[in-house]
Amino acid sequence: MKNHLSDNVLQALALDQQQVNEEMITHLEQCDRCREALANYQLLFTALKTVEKPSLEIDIEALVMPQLPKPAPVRQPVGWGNIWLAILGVAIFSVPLFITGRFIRNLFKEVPVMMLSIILVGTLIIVGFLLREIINSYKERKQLLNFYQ
Amino acid sequence: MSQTAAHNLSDQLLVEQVLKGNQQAFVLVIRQTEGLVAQIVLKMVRITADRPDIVQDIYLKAYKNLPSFRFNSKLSTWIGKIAYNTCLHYLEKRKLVFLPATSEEKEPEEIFDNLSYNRQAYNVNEGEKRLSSRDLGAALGAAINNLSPPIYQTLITLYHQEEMSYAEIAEITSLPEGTVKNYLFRARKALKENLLSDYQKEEL
Ligand SMILES: [Zn+2]
Repeated sequence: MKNHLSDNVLQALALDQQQVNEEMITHLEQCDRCREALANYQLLFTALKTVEKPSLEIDIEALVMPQLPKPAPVRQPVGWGNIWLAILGVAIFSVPLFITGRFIRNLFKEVPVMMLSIILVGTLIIVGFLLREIINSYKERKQLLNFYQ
Repeated sequence: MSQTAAHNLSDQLLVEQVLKGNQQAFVLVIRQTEGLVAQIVLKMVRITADRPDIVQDIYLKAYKNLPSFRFNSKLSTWIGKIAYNTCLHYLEKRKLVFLPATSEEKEPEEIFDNLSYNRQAYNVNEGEKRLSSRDLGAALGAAINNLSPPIYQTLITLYHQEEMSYAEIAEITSLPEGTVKNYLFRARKALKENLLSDYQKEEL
């Protein structure tokens, strides 16, 4: 027996991570130094488990929760009810249109092409302006929402 | 059900709830992880006044990145990793030393291997003083805080007090498992020696 047990082995023994062999037992029986060192490691590891953990002294919930971004609104999936309602709506509008279609076409037969195109262009311009208005106000509201988040 | 499986299940439920917009579930996440986060922040950030901002930063990052959590580890380990990285970034910004210098990295004696015997020659008369459990409690906290480089303090805390495995600590610190074992070996040895030398000083 020329050498002491290494610190690696002593730590592993104290942590129960090392198989003890004959040679180690014999050494430990005869060597005060290694026995003391092993006992010190065992004592140290037990003490580490029980030593009082210092506290942060911060109320993490109160600190963090008000800072969380608002959850995004959950989008309702399109249900079958909505789909039937849409079909019904289309049907209600298209049936009378189908019935009165011939009369409407006759109505425009007498109007000159020039007049018809003026009405059409006018209507398109008005619809365009209205759409722009709607989109702008939507953007404004969205910005306002992001600001509050 | 194994402990890890139970953990994963409750982690999964919690994460699902938070992702659905249930913020109360995030309160539970905080309560489950604040002990670990506290130990990491306490050991890595010495200036008390800097801690609240760092803790807030850690949890806001966790909340924001929760959709990318893939359940490859426990939720607590994942948040521990965010805490460690946030503190490490704080230390780097202030140019504070945390990890051992690279030259220290490979001292042949200290590499964790299976060498059974010390190089030191055997001498029966040369004894080691016995630590006493009575005095240990009081001195231990201070002895941990004096370990250098400071990562030793974090590793001792995570392994011995938070009872995490080498693999979990490797995950948190992004260090190879072998390096974690090696650093822990050196940290324990230094801790024992510092405590012993304190005793000897007291006796003089
Ligand atoms: Zn010995």
